Amino acid sequence: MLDAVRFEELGLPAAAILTEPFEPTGRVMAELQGFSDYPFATVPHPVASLSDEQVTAVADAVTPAVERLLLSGSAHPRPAAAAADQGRSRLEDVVEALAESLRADRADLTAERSGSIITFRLHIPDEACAECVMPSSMLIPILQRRVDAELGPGLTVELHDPR
Amino acid sequence: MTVTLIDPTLGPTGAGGQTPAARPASLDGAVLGLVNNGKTHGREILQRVAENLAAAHRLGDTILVTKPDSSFPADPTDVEMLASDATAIIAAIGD
Repeated sequence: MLDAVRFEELGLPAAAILTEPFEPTGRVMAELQGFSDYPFATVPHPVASLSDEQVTAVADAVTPAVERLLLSGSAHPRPAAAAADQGRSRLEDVVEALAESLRADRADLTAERSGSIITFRLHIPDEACAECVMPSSMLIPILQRRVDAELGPGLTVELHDPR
Repeated sequence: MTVTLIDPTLGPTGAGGQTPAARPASLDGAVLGLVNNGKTHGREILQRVAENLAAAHRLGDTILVTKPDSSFPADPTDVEMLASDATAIIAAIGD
């Protein structure tokens, strides 16, 4: 992922291929490099134990997504703009996108808006690995960036972190 | 005894708002840079994808580089070479 975004910065269209379990991690890695919603292609996990025939099948299956990433910048045939059609607010979309990356560590995220302040609440149940979840010092810039990009400037992000 | 601690993480850029590179109208004549991070079957997947793309487009060429360590960014020399000689990049495999 880091290599792909580095080449994007250098002006070359890039397509990163990740295994599905690494999707949340890849999304956050791109976000940390300043690329919000950076699209990439995924393949099923695991890859290392596949036979030659299975590797070929995986490559064949992911080729259309790679082609779309290089030509249109999207991994999916349809633009990923359908969330608004599902009746969710833009804040809910932002929260959902961010929460998805935290759920890999069994944490979750909610948010509420009061005027120009958006208060995010990080939920870390007892069975979750609290140390595995990114620290507030990293989360807050990500939250603020996403809010700025999706909801516009002028909003202040606060994070309640139970740790 | 000397203990060397290797930190593979990269800190946030703090920049934000980065935008992807402009996309070409087609891959005809494209030189694909294949960045293999060295994980098992990454190279095979990259090469097969490139073959598939070559079957559908008149690719110019492909250049394969393999990272010595998947935990680190690509070698600066390879990055410089690909930035100069390639026109599009495929990186695999995040695993």
